[in-house]
Formats: sequence, C-alpha cells, structure tokens
Amino acid sequence: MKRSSATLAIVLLGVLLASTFVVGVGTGPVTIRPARVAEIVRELALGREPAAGASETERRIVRDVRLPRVILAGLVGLALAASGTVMQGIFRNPLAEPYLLGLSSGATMGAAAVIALGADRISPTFVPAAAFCGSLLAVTIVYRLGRSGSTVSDGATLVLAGVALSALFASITSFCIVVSSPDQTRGIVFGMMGGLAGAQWHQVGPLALVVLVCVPVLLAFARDLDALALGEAMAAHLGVNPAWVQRTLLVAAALLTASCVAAAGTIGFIGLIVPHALRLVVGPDHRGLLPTAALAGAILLIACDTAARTIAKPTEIPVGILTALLGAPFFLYLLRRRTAAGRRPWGADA
Amino acid sequence: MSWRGAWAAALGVGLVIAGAARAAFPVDVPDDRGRSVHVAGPVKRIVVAGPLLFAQIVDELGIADRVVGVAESPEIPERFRAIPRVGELGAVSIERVMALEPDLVLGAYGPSRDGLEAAGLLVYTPAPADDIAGVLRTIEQVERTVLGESRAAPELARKLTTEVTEIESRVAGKPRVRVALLYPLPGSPPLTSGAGTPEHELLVRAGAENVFADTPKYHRVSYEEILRRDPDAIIVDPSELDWTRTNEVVSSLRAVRAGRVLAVRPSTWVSTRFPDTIRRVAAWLHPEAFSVPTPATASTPPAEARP
Repeated sequence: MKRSSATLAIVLLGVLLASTFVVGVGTGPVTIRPARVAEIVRELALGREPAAGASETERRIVRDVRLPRVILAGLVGLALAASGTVMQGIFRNPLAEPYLLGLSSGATMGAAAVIALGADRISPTFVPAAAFCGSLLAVTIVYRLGRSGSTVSDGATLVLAGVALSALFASITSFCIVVSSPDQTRGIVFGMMGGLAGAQWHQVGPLALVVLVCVPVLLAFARDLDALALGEAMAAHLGVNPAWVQRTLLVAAALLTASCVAAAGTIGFIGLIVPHALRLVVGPDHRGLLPTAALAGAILLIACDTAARTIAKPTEIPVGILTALLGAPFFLYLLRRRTAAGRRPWGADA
Repeated sequence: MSWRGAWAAALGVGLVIAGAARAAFPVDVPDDRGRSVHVAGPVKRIVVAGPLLFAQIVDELGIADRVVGVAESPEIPERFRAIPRVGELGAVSIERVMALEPDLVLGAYGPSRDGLEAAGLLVYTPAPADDIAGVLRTIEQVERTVLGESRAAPELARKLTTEVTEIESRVAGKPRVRVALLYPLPGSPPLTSGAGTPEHELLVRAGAENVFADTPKYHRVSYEEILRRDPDAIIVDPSELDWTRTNEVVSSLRAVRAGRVLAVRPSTWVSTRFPDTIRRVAAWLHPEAFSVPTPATASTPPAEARP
C-alpha cells in the first residue's frame, strides 16, 4: 500500500515539477509569449537551428537568464530537501535541517575565511572546498554532541547546539568581512549572498555534478535509514553498521549543503518543511520519502523563486525571505506540537 | 532646444537663490530631513562625515583649513590625508568627533548621525542631489552654513555650468549613443541610475541616451530587461570591469562584445568635478567631436544669466 502510494507520489510530483519548470521559465519581468518560450526551449533542448518566430533577445533571455535560474533553483531545492530528510532520519529529530544545525553558516564561514586570507587568488576552487570543510566541521560537532549520550541525544539540545554553532560561525564570518579589504569584502558578500538573482550556467554544472553523485548515495542508504529508525542496537542486529551509515550520509549532506551555499548563498527551511509534508503523504519509509522529498524540494524552491521575482515587480526580493516566511512559522508549529505531545511528532521515539 | 532652456532656467533659479541667500549669521539652512538647521555663528571647526563630495566642496570653496576631522574613505583628497580620521563613512565614532570639538559636522548619515545630534553637535546634511542643479545647490548650502552667506559658490556654479555647456555644444546634433550605467549588487539584480539622478542628467548632456531613463532614481533592473534593451555602451565602476567579462549575461551584451565599456568611479558623478566626468564620457562616446581644438565661442564667457 505504502509502496504504491510512494510510486504514485513520485509520478505526480514529476508532473508537477515539469509544470512548475514551465511556469518558471515562462515568467519574468519581460513578457514573452508562452508559445515562444516553448519554441525556444525546444530549440535549445534538441539543438535545432533557431526558427524564425522568436527574436534573438527573447532567445537570450530564456537561454541565459531564465533557464539557468530555474534549473539552479530546482537543484538547490532538491539538494536541501534531500539533506534535510537524511539529517532528520539520522538524528531521529524532526527539527534537524542543514540551516538550523549550522551547516549553511559553516559553509559561509569556510568560504569567507578563504577569501579573507586571500587563498582564493591561488585557486578559485578553494572557496567551495572551504565551504565544504566548514559544513563538515558543523556536522561533525553536531554529530559528536548528538552522540554524547548512549542514544542520540535529546532533540532540543541538538537544535540549541545548532543555534550556538550558527552564531559562532556567523560571528567569524562577520570578523572576516570586517578585517578584509573592500575587494575581499565584495567577494565574500557577493559569494555568500548570491541568491538566485544572478544565476548563471557556470554555477549549474558543479552543483548538478554534486547532486548526481550524492543523491544516488542517499537513495542507496534508504533501507539502512529505515533500520536506524528502529534504534542503533536494532539496526546493528539487522546487519547495518550505524556509525558507517551515519557518517557517510552526513558527509553527503554536508557536501550537498556546501554546494548549495556556494551556488546560491544561504536558503533556509526547505530542508525542514519538505520532508515533513511528504512524511504525511508517503509515510516515514525512506525509500519513498527520499525521492519524493527531493522532487518536492525542487518544486517548492522553483515556485518560491518565481514568486520572488514577480510579486514585488519591478524589483525582486531574495528568495530566502519567502522560504523563511513559510518555514519559520512551520518550525514554531512543530516545536509547539512536540511540546504539547511531550514526544516526537513522528514514529521514532527512542 | 528644450535642454538649453531648462539649463538656463536652472542656472537662473540657482542665481536667484544665491542672491536671496546673502545674509550674515544667524542663518537657517534646509537639510535632508526637511528641517531648518539653525547656525548661530561662524563655523571654525568642521568634521567632514559625508562622502567625497563634501570634502571636495570645502576644498573648492577655500575653507579646507577649517576641517579638523574626516571620515575614513579610500578617496580622501590629498590635502586631507594628514587630518584625524573619525571612523567609517556612515558609521563615524561619536566620541572621536566630540573629541575634536567641531562647530559643524558635515554630511553625517547612517546610524551615528542621531547620536551626533543627541550629543549636542550641530549636524548639517543637505538633501541628496537629483540633478546638476541639486549639486550646485548643495555647494551653495554648505557655504551658507559655514560662512553665513554665499561668496564663492555662485562663481563656482557659473564656472561649472560653462564647462558643461561647452561640452554639450560639441556633442549637439550627434546621434545619441544608447548607454546604461550598471552597478552589480549582491543577492539582487544590478542597480542603475534612471531619471531624477545627477548621473542621468550628466549622461544625457554628454550625448548619451540613457536606456533606463524610464526607471525612477536608483533602481534595480532585471538581467532580462538589460538583455532586452541591449545598450550600445555600458558604464561601470572600475572594480566591476571583471564582472562585465565573467557574468554570462553582461558579457553577451552588444556593448561588451564591441568593447564599449567605460569605467567611471561612482564618486565622480555627484562631485564638484562633474564637468570632467561629462567630458570623459562625451569624448568616449563621441571621440570625433573632441579631436578638434575647443571652439572659439566656448572660450568667451557666456552672456550673464542674471535676471
């Protein structure tokens, strides 16, 4: 029953993703007729010669502005939702999420430190590498704290640790900004506040690569995550090595988060909202939950970004404002529900 | 020539203001918050807390020797280099300003401004200029605040407008070049200068057509809109030249492909040296108009515009 509902959800979400993509590419400050947009996308996808219909400008708007932006939004949403799902599974905590546990601010700090030290001039690849290190540092600290007891420690403690870590990393980032030259400050601010407004094709490639490598890894461990939900002792009994699974998945989650930060800056709460919503629909089985949450993450961020660049016309609002507007009340709701019930809101009470 | 007409009218109004303003202390000068700043007596000690424009104004007006402190900025004029610094632009240290015991803090803005006023210091920040007439008015207001009357400002205004008129006459009748002024911003599309900014007026007088003339003041414009308008030439901050080459959208613009990118420091638009900026832009847009020596008519002073 669960299995077929998950398959159905994947198909429906696939269709919804395709429609969101079409609306996203069809919408923008410059009005281009939907038929034209479709014609241009078809041309580009099939590598055909430009037809007579669309003008060169329209073609460039669709190709150089809208497509990279919508695809980047989709990849970032997908990666953040997948990381969130995995982190909630590993920590068996409904509030675990890359943004709330400090992975995003760790990535920002890593990149800021490298730019402030001038190391990005040796090689620009040092910036995403340092973002990954920062993210990995955050997840390592959180993991150690989470394991300080015999079982994964109390949920509130974990989130509080994430809050403290985020504050620490944010202050180090601010320090880097203050001590660096105007050029470096510009590099840090532009790099870390990138958002989706200036999305370009060269940002799409590396993120797509990371997603293509990491998401299959996450999916391959879905069954082990389900075993972990029964408790580490039970998982070990089922032939799963808990520490190995947890570490591998957390490294993948850190890599996904850091790549998102490097491509589009910090975008919060996607990893919180999406897995919860999907758990209600397809249940807690990670083989169904992970792919559906990933698809829904892509849909949600493309939709938020399309709204972000149209509702405040002629200007744009950063997409992080919208995701926080949705996510922060949701977070409070989860917190309240959890406190009221005196237990975790999903079936994994340790 | 409607532009010429408007120009003459602006100058006329400026001179009327200047003439009417001749008065000794105390004086009341309007500031950016719509208040009237009351200056009781002569100003002997000035802290320049605002951008380069204010340092330039006190310099041009010959009252630079009264400056006892300046805000930190990478573009402090040579003659102010040895003067004590009072902190970053927009965030000056209230204590350091107080320690200098100034009679006037000029151009303060940002979070520290209210603190300076609360500390009992006289703060004067004129309204930001929307056009060239606004820059000239700022010069006049600063002089009146410091000296209680207009002395050098009217003559300076005449000199600056004469220079602009000369440049304008060179590019008159030339086909206008479609130009966009672009400043990239983090986390949002680039900023441009539209109608109601000194940059816009300077561009138009330099023989350009501002492709974003319809955007009000300083506004963010989407990359889509930039592609759609595809200007023939673009002007950016010198530190953003790299951006024009690395950004996939900007580097594909007609202007960038044709190499028509000019780097102009943002502080040189709203400046007492704006004629130099216009001349640079005009000569870049219309080099043929500047290959011959200055026309004889321009070397003679223009007819007095005094009513």
